[in-house]
Amino acid sequence: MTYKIAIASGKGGTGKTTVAVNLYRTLQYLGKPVNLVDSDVEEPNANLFLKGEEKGRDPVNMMIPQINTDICTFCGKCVEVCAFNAIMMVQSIKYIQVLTDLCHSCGACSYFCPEKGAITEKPKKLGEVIRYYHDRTDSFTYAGQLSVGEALAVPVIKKAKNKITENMVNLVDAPPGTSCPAMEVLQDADYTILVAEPTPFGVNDLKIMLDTVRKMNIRAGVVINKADTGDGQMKKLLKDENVDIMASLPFKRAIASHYAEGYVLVDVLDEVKQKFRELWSNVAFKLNKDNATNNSH
Amino acid sequence: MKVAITSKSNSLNSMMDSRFGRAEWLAVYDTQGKETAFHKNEAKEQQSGSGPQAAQYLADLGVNKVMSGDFGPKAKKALESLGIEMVVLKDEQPIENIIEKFK
Repeated sequence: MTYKIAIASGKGGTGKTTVAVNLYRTLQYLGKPVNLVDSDVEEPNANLFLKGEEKGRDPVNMMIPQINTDICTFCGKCVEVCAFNAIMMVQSIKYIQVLTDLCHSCGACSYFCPEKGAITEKPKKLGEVIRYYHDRTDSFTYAGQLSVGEALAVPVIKKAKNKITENMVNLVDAPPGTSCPAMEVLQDADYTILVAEPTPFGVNDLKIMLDTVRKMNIRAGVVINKADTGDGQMKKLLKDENVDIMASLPFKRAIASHYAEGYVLVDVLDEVKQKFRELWSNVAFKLNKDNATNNSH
Repeated sequence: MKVAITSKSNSLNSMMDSRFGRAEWLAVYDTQGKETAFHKNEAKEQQSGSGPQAAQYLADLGVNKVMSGDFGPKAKKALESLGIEMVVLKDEQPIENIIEKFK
């Protein structure tokens, strides 16, 4: 079976990458075929923990229009159809320019341009998908990385998602928040693990995320990180909203210091290893229940 | 020469709007005719790219110089490539006070 499990959060810095790399290693220990695709393209740092050897980078390009002013009649059709105001034209001085930062590569300008050859398209690099090799397990992991200064994360995430592999459990580390880049990862996941911390910010942002996944019909459960801290608002929220708690990770100095040294926690801390086995069995239960229901139809 | 000033409202005693792309109004003073015309800044309603669109509008109106409190990076690029001179004014002040200096 091919599974896609998204690891997401409303707020940044709650422990998505920690959960992703530790669940990845847990599944390896359990002998399950597992793949990891880091789609947190603004800060893909799962490999800081997994320490795979970089084996190559595939560019992610988008096509942007290029206007030949010898052919262009300055009719203004392209400016009219561009929904993103990415073409600037001043008819009186025969001036036209593509604002590449605003272009979303929809292709409307070249489609509607009445002059053959006036608009051609050329690639612009948005980011890369990096391949990492792990010799200990003879396996690959992948990470999408957005180029500095670029704003469009979704095309890079789409390309990274191509690395989702058949007959494996695919863990996909999502960008934080509830906007398009995060939804690009969550929308087709079989299950989503939401990592949350019980601070006022964490509770507030988880609430927004819960509203979002409900609206999008995304099946999700919560991992509470630093679960023994906070003022009880997190537990109250999860109870009020009737959300599954998939695991609770404690707040401990040993966890923080090993994390800071770049360890995968399940490699070194038995207590954490146990927690992640529980997390996986809870997630597997959700996935199996899914199958059972599907098979009965 | 035509000078544009970003304005909060459409009268001479209204204050300068310190934003360029998202200014409410664009006051355009013609130094030859010594007249001021107020244009609603339609670009303000755009989700993105309001700076370049306002710049394009000023170019359509034949403006040579524009005064505002600040210009965004995309607006700056656009105004530069259109050859419209930018002047940054620190204090928000009535439009008529700014125009007075050109008389």
